[in-house]
Amino acid sequence: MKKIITLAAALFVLITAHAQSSPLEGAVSQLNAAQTLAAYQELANTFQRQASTDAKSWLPLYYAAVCNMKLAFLQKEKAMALSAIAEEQIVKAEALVPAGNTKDLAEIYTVKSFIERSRVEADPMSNGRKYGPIAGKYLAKARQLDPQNPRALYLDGHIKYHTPALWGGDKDKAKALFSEAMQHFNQPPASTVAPQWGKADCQKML
Amino acid sequence: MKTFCLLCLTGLLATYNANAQQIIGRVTDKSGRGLEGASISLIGTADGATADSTGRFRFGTASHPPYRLTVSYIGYKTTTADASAGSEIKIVMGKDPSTLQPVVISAGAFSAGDKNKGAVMTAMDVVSVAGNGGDVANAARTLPGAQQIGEREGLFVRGGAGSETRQFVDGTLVPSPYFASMPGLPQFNRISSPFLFDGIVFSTGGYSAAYGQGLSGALILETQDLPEKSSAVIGISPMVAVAGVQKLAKNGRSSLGLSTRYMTWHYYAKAVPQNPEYATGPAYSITEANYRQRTGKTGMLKVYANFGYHQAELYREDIDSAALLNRFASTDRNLYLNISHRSRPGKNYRLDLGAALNYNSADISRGMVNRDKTTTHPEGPVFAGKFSEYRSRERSLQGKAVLTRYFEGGHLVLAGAEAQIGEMDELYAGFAEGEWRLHHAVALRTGARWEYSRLSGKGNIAPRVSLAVRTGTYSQINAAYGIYYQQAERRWRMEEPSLPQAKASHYILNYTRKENGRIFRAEGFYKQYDRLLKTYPSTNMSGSGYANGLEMFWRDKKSVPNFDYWISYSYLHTRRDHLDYPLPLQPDFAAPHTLSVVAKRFFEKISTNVNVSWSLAAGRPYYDFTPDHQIRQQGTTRAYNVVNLGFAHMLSLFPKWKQKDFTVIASGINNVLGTRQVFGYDFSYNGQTKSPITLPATRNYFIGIFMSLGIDRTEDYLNDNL
Repeated sequence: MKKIITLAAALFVLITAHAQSSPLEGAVSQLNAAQTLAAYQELANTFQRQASTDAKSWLPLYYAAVCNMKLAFLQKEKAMALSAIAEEQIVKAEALVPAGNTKDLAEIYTVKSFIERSRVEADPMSNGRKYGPIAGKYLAKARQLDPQNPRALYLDGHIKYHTPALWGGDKDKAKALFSEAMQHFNQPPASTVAPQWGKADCQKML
Repeated sequence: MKTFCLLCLTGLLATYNANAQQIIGRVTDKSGRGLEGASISLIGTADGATADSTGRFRFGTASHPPYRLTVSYIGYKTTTADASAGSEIKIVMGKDPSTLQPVVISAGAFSAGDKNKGAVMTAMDVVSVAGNGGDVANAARTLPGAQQIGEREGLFVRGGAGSETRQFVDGTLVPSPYFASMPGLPQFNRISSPFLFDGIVFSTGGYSAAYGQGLSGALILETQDLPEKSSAVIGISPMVAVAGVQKLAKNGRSSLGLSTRYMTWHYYAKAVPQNPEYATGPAYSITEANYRQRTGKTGMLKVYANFGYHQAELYREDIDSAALLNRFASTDRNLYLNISHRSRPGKNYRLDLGAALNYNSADISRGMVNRDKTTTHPEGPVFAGKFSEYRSRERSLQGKAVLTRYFEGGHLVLAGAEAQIGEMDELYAGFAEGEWRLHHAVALRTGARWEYSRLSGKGNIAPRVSLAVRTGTYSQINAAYGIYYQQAERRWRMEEPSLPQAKASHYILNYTRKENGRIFRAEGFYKQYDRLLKTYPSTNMSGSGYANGLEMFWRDKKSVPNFDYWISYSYLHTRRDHLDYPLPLQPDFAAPHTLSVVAKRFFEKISTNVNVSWSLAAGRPYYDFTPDHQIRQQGTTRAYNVVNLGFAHMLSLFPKWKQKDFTVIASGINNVLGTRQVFGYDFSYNGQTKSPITLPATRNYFIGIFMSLGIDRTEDYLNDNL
């Protein structure tokens, strides 16, 4: 009997909870835990579907772009096609960011920079010259819009870490950027759906 | 109570299920393979799913039928399908051809640089091949199809002589790309700095109708547009001093560049004795200027000028007399000016205009001296051929115009005209070519070139066809056929003005696979020489010959991080009856087997790039002809085996400067193993003595420091080695 009541209660909680938390919220929390290719692919699709029914919010498109960008980093042979999709999504997301919202715009430019960077890393020899400077330009813009954006700080560190010392790479500087990013990652996000991904990647570098 | 609770539970589940009409199905490709990751969404809702590893999906929806799904997957055409709850829907997706790499017409050609879709290497790859001296043409020798010729300049392609591979800059022919030839030594290319160019195509046959006058091959170079930033470079080594500046205008629409280079072997020869004896030089001075200007919205004007001066005086032991030396002295001046303009006069049009002017003066003196270098004139037929005074002044002017029209679906048609005006002859050419995308996996290029020489009064038509068929996502098969003509050198046409052009037909079949930083290419060819120059017993075009072979190329820059290598192998079987050959023979510049290995590794911790190149070639034939051109002796030289080693250490000497410098300390040794190289033999007049034609010194050493300010080559090194 008790079991049934507990089950019913649990089910009730589950269903109401399900009804209360928005699908976006659910997907964002899944993204925070995502690690595998399949998980990112599933989320990319989920966010894209959410975007298709929500023509006003920049976040679903933004997150779809983030997932496709992640996939581009994970699958070098498909990176160019994936980054093209991510770029299309982030451009659409940018148009939906309310005017004057520099923090959100910084998130957009950070992802734009990540997308270009995924193109560089897909084939540094053929793409580096073309996309490296664009990635740098977007990152500079993001850093200027919001100097405390942890994802921009992390990307800055990532680039410094992977560039040989002679050409401006600096592993110590990279470490400093990672720890600075970590401090900001440790602040609670502005909302449950505000950009908050990247913490785990950054943690790994420290 | 229990019943009530159970009812409640059922009710709860029922409400949950009420908005959960289950939609199930499977997404596959045409072969039935599940497409993992495909996105399925129910139109008009946010409901949907992602296909699992077997392509299956399942999701619930609260919406009401009819259900229409849209399914998308990377690389496939997005499809829609009707669905009904509860029954499995099968969705088959077709590949989206627009996401595949376009087919590239590439039979016979190797290309480098950003501009070329089918590129197999970059400018930096070219410069970093050990032992090439930064010369594009030398670097091309490590690709299949080219011979390892060490005693003279030029690209000897597929059984063709060096003069059969022509060099083009921005569309127009470079009449004299090399400084005046020296006996037994290779000569430098005047215009060969890889950084001048961002498009390099080395064609070993089957090239486009837009180019002509290269019987065997073409080295097609395209100069850069505007530089990204202003820059300056200086460099010094015991043999070379270089200085150059490149200034980009503030508005970013024009740039001006100047550079000068002085090279001499004089001091080097004192430290490392050379045979022949280098009495003067060989010394070179090369001054280059370029101006680039954007015109209008789409136009690009480029002016390039190159002035080269070269002087050499060499003494070599005479083969017929131990008491005497042969003297060779040459002075060579050359001015080359290339003006090109590219624009898009309409949305689907491109217009290329080019003009080139060349002035060359060469004074070459051959004679005999005593051991104390006093001039002597020994009498008799033995020495008769050892004296000559050659003085040439040659001007040439070229103009070329090409109009390209692009069509929907990737087709294009181009047509153009060309005039080459020389000292005593004019060559006029007209050509037309179409590139047709017959199918997303098939591209065809058909063209024809017509050439007319005023002097000989003869015209020729050269058809050219090239086909590319994609056989897989990363592989394609290419085939090409074409007829190629080339005029004899001026001195033969002066002797025999009615000489027709030499003629060759190329047949090429190629398989290329490019995937993830690895390239495999195999190419078979047959070349028929229908007409070749004969100089004995009389000057005519009755020579003939053929060449066939198989070539392989493998490059891998992915398997080992920071390590890049390529391997080329060429098999060549050729016979030709040309010049003074008494019968069809394997020419003395054709080795049947050639192998080249180039490997590069970047050691990040010490910022040093190490390059090794190893070339191996089977022995080449040599012949000794009697004065009446009968074979007196013949044989095969020993195999050619050379290992070159190069180091480039990169550093910044003044990192605190506002314009951080980028400095390279480069060093190298050619023929590290000290193997004896024999390219052929010189024979005495009576045929009783032969002396090998070999390297001027066993090994060749190089060290230099090059510093650049402003824009540097960092990006190139970086991208090559990241």
